[in-house]
Amino acid sequence: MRNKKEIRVEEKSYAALFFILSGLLGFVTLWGFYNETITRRPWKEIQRQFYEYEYQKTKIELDRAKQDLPEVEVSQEIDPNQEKTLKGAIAGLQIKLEEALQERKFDQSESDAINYKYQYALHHGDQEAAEKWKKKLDEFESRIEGELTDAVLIAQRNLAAAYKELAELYDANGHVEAALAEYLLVRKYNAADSTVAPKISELQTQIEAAKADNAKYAEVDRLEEKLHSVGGIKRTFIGTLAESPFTKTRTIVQYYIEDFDYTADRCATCHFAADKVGYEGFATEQFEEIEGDGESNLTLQLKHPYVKTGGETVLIDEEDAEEGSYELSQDGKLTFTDPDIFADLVEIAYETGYDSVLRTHPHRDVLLAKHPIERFGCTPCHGGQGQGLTQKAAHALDHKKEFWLTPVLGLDEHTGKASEELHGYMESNCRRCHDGVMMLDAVNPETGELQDYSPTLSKGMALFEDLGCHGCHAVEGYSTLANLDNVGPSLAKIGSKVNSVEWLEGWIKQPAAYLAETKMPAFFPVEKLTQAVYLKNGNKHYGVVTKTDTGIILQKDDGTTYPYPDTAVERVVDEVKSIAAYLAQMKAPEIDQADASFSTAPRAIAAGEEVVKSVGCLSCHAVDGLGSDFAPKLDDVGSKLTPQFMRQWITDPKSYDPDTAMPSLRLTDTEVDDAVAYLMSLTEPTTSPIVGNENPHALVDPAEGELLVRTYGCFGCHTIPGFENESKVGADLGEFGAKVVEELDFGDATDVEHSWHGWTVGKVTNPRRYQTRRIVSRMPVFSEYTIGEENARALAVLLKSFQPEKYPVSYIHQPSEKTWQIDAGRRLAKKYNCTGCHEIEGKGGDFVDVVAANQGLDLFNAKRFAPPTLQAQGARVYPDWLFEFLKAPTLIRYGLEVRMPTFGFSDEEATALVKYFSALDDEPFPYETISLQPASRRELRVGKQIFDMLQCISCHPEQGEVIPPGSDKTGRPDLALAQSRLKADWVIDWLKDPQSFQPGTAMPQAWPKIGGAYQPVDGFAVDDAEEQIRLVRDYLNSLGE
Amino acid sequence: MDPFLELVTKPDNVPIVAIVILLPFFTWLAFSQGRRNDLAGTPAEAGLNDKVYCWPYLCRNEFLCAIIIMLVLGIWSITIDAPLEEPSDPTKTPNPSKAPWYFLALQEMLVYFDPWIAGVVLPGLIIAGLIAIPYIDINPKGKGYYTLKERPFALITFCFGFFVLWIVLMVVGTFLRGPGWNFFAPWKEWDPHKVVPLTNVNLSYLFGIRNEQPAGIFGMCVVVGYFALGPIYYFLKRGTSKFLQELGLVRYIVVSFLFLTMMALPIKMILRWTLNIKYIWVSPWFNI
Repeated sequence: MRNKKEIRVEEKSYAALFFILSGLLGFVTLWGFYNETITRRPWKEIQRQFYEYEYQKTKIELDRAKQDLPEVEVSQEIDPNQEKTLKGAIAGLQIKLEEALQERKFDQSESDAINYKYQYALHHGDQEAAEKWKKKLDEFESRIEGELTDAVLIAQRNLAAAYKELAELYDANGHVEAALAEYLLVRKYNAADSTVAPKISELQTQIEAAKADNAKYAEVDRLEEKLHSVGGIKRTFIGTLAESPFTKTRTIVQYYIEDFDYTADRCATCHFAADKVGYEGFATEQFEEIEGDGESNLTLQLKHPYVKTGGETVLIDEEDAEEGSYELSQDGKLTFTDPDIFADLVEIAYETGYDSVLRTHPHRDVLLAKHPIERFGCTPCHGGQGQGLTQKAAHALDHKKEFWLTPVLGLDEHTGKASEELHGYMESNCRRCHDGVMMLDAVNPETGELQDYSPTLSKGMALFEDLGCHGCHAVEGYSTLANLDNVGPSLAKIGSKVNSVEWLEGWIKQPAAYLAETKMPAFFPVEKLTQAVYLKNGNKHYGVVTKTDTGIILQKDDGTTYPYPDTAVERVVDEVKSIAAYLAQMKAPEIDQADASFSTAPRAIAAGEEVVKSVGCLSCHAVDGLGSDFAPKLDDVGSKLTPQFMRQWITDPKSYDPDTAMPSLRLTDTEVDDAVAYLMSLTEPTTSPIVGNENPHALVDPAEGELLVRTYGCFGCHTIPGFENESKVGADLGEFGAKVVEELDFGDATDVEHSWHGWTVGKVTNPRRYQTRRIVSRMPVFSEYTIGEENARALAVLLKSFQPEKYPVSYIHQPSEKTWQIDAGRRLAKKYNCTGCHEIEGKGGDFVDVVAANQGLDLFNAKRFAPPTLQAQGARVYPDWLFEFLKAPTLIRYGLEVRMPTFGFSDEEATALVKYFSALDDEPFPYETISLQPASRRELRVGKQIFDMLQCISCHPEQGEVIPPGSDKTGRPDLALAQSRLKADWVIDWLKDPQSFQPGTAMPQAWPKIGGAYQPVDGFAVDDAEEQIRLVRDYLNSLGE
Repeated sequence: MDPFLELVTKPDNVPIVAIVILLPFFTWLAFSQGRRNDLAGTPAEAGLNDKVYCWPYLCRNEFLCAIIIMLVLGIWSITIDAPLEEPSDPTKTPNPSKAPWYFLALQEMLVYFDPWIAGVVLPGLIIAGLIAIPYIDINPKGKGYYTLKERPFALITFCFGFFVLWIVLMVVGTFLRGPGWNFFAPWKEWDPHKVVPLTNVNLSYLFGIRNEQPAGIFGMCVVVGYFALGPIYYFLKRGTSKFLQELGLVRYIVVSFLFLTMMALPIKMILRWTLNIKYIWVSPWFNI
């Protein structure tokens, strides 16, 4: 220290320090440049990668384009002297023709003048002069029509011959277009030359072919230019040092959407191929006529140069390629190891190997076509921070570290990776613009069929609405909920419906024990735990209560026990029994006083079974493992219901509950009695319901029950008198999707992932999961059958869509009238389970299984005895007829056991269904019909002859015909109904080709289509198929009159 | 990563971490030089009367410093990003919502005082007090050199007021206050669901006063009595203390008021920790 101090300040040198620090500063400055331009712009590398892909792809395209380039005939030089001579000859002949024409023209002119003189003389009565001029005129005219015209024709022919010579010269040397021009002149001057016309058409074809060839060359040129521009080596100003391929300028791609809250999305900077065709994740390719040369392996180049191997499927002539018979390499080369390979068609389906960030948007042709990226950007659908230019900032996943609130959807927030499990979340934002419809279906351009593009969301919505979530939860902005019915049955007369309070108790305690498929959730999911202890200090505890000498011992569901002396306990209430007691009071005198007897005779039971299993009950219900789970299973129904109720319910369901979807099947009294006898005999309990905690001291009080119904919100799903105006007991979910994980209480649960997804799936699968000692949850537990893991995920996708931030009105989708009609129809079809019997939109019609089982037929043959398909129903029947039929079904097909029930549709419902079918087939509604021109007697006679000849009534019944059992006519429609029922145009289409409407129908095609034309039925004066069909149609229409 | 380590290495907290290291270092430097001077009797700085030109001998040092600062700032800005978050959303605020690091001591005071005191009166008095220092400091010693024993009162007051009441509170606010402004030990995870007992009562309540008016009067007496301690001391000691006489009544009252106000903070803090005192003085218009 001392020594140093003695050096005077003036003598100190800081040169070394300056040097080092300045060097460091220089280094840091360069580092800053590097950091700014490269490290912080990772998208540049991604775009470079894209151009490399583009380069390789273009190269393959170019190779392919070059491969089948046609050889272009090169035209030869023409001897100029020869051409000159020929052209000179033509010029001379042209002059000759001109001369000939002129001579004729002059003579014509002369004759015109003489004609004047002749007429003048004639008009003035100068006979002599007229004679003279007439003679002169004749002379001239014969000259004009004779020798002068001949001279012209000869000159033309000569000229044509000269042209032809020139044309042949051109043609011989390959100057196609010039030759064509000359030949056209030949035709002009000598139309009679028959060799010219074929020559002209031949040359025209040649020119067309040349044009196509040129286009191929132009394509090669274009690709070459593209290849150069994409990957061409650019010389920079530093020279070859900085030579680098793929130097195409890399830029930030931004979509700025002013009217969507000033969104600026730069996602496409990295997702550079999102809106470009050709970077799909999966591809299929076909190669025709593959033939190996027998020596070396045959290699095919796929159009994608980057391929993920191992997952591909290769079909050779529609057969799976044998393992080891081919090899697929990552650069897209498919090599067949058999050198003798020969196939007409090789088809390969494979996954491409492009980096996932550089893929084309899935379903680009639908999703991006409907949502152009310039107008919709990216984040309105996908979430995330649109401005971000790094993966971390743009995906904005880790809320905890950076407090990002709009993470990109569908990625794991911890790993940042996409997963199958989370993929559905991408659909959640769809609902924010497409609220109110059941699904978002559009025509898939590849298959041509309707496809739901938000299947997970649709599933979530269906679950939410079917399970009655809306009974307890309001959701702001979920417009459908306002119009939904209660999902549970009315409890207004429940006391008369079920035959014992014990059944009600067992049901409330554990609904799944009686009916595993039930939607009714368990409010008391813990075994035995049904009782609530009210202490005098105001606290309330749930648990299993045991009575002791001096008080009670309460065992909570976590196993801990608490003794309370009698002095501390105000009352112990058995909640299940109290609710049951309260509900059991709700009786209907007209049911109670009705006849409670029912037959136990085996004959009646057997007859009832026949009725229940055949008339259509099993399209909704199930018994003996046969039927549908739309409505409750009937296997144990005898132990549940009173016979009086059953009788009323089967006879006229609407009289018991006006809102029920249960229809009347118009059974006779005997049939009803038999059915009741059968159903009452079904008492085998499938599982034994667990009865509550047997504590005789627990209070069972209907008044407590009423309070509990209010507490638990039973009225959310069931109609209960006195609770019509209660508000919903659950939380409003309108902003649930925006909750951050800190706002969610995980309770004591340690096995749940700490994320919105984890919490929500956990909550939905077991709503009591987050219950703690302090926080009691009232939300009931749905059975595993109802909400499994997968359904829970679908519900979570829906819940994620409940966001407080509303999208701009201009972005809210306004569905067309047709969409609403279809949606309303689908809802009704679902409510009344139309698809239980009928096939609609390609789904449903499962009742045919029941028919097949009952009659011992295979599915194909059972179709005749099953309810008809309603595919193309809108095109088939008149709306008026359909409306009436829905309101009051009439017989169309005779001899069937199953029947169309009477649903008691309101006018609105029936109209909505009619509109639905019209909209499905793009038929106008209302439907205006032009009454057909009444057919003449003769036409009708011919129509009948054809009709008889085709033996239509060997299968179809005649009007009012009684069909014996087993007849071929069973299940065939009555043709007399055609006039009022079937659209006249449709009948013609149907007669032409029944299979196109109903594949597998027994209706034969009487006018087979051969070579694009329908063949007429032989032996009639009218031998035009279309006409024959029309006549038959007219005859059919006359049947109903 | 260990939650505390994660917190310490957050880009937001670079300055505060630097303070924790740099401040003790410079304090030690100043104290050691003061102690050396005190032991030597004459300050070492007294001998430094040789003068050199500003240019180039000072400027080159400054230039070197400028280069070093640029180096540090350059490396800092390259390696650590500004901790920007997504566009703000008034309906969703971060928890904890923290002021910038240099205001965290003020925010910490909000725990113990109502906003009008902690956010308005106390910062105002800090500024007023700093402005007043030249006028109330009558000690002529310790100018131009380091010393400890010649300015004990000034030194102790500064060390307490700045280190304890400003820096320590800032460190506490940065590292130990988590969601809900709850206190978290360094090794604890910041759990937004942490529940703390809410059992604070007013001072008057502890003394058994339940009614509003007597409670207000009681609180007023305590507060007024506290601030009266200064004048009372003056009148008791002025006869014997030469210091008090030199200071004079007006200056003394200003000094004692500022000093007592400063001390009110730790007193209130200790009362809160030990007796769960919420307010000393409750009135319908304000609470202290």
